[in-house]
Amino acid sequence: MSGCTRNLAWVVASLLVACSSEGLDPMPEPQAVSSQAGGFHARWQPSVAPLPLNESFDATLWLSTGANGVPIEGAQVSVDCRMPAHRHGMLQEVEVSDEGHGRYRVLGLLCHMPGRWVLHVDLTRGAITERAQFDLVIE
Amino acid sequence: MRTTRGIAGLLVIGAGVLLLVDRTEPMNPALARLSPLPPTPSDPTNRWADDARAIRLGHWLFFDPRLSLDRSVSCATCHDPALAFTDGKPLAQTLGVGTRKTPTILNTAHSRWFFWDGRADSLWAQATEPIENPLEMGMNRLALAHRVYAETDLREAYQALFGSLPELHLRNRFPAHARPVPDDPEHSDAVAWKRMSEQDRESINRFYSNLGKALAAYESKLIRADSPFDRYVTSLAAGDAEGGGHLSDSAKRGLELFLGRGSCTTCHSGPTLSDLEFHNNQVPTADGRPPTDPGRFEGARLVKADPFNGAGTFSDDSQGAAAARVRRLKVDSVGWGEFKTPSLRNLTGRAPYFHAGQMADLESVLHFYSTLEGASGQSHHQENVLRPLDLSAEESADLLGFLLSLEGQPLDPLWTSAPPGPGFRRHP
Repeated sequence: MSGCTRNLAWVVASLLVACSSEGLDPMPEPQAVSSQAGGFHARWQPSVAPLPLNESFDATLWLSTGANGVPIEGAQVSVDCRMPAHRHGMLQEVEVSDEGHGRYRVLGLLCHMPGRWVLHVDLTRGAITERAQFDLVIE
Repeated sequence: MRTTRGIAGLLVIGAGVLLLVDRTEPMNPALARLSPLPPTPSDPTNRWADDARAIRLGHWLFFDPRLSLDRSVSCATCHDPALAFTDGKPLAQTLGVGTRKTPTILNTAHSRWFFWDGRADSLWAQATEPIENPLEMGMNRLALAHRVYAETDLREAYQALFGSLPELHLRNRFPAHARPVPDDPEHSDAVAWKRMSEQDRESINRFYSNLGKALAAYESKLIRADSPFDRYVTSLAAGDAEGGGHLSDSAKRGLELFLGRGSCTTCHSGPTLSDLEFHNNQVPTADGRPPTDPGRFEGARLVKADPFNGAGTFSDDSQGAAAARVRRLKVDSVGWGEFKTPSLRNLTGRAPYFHAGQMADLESVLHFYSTLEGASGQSHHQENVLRPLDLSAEESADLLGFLLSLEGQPLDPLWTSAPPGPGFRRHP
């Protein structure tokens, strides 16, 4: 195969990939924030993309003492979503389970209205509770 | 060289495909989410839901007044097929007057929660409640079991599908009248129910839930879809910018308002044009006094406690998605005064509107959202969604035109009248 042919083949292959992947949303990279008091670092990744309107979805959380810190295991973690503009939250409780190594499984998120939501991650260790929060947009 | 020309040809074709893709304007996602109405969702909690024999039995029972204690009222008395399966009254009225409007059961199989307050989480669980409501059919599950046992056609129809009935001839175990009455434990029906053994109560509950599942199997056939609006969206998706002429210019303007300035899809989202959840939209009460109906706050508590919910013994999928949904449901004071967002499909014939029939017609509904005149206040609920839309007369007419374009195709007449019996042969 000549160099010209190889180049053309690459262009065609790229075009076909572009065509076939149209409309597919790749899974986003996990988002990361520090807690408001700076005591822990949280990353989260939803199970679906884009975030669905009015359909249940799950997520994974990773909690650590800092961006490159020690994983936080065995903590009391609660997760909720609020819709600030409407002054209400979700209609169901979220189930959070500790999977070890700072990884937590979050089941049963459901944002029933379009707009901006805020995901709260509340971490309790001993007598101290800290919050990290992520902005979500449901379209 | 031949290979190069061939690949160059492919390149041209590929570029052409891309150009075609680029020329196709993506449909407004908010619009695309409203249509079409998808196939009726399955209900794993009801293993009879798609069984043709259960559909036949449920159809027969739906129109049979023997399900009421005095044999005067059937499900169809309030859910009249001629009135879009409602009764046309502000408040349900049969053996007594209820506190809320009879909702339609058209397309109700697409619901997530049932009743205005969502106190049932399946169509079959919903179907069991009015039978025992003293203001509706006035029956109790023991009296109904004895009636089915005693009347040959009912007994044979039941047993052909569900198997043997409990040993109802043993009156020392199965009293003539009994039912759970959670809000009045001293009621004679409740006392008799409590005296029964747990095993006998369970056998009666199994019988009673089976009847609910048959009724639900029939009710899930009452689907009206493929409205002019759906055809318009289908035509748009096929590239016809005019939408096939399925909507008038006025209805198109109404649709634009619905999706845009009206923000109607904040609650009326999804293919039923309902988010299937609950809101306090501050609709004025009929007497102008502050609202007293707790709505979803009470409904959430009731559905979690309901032995017929998706996580219960009588669910056919007690570990599935429906079970998780009711297990996770919050009972929150925020739900006080909230009512289920009604579907906007098939509005004709459903007047009056809202949960207590507060508005006589759709024009009054639109006037309320335009002005919020008489709004009952936010009460316990702090949701902050409503703003007066300040609609002009033309805009109101446009929105009405859009709403009326949501009428689905008529039901097969087979479903809208009583069959002669549970084995009616015209059933599919």
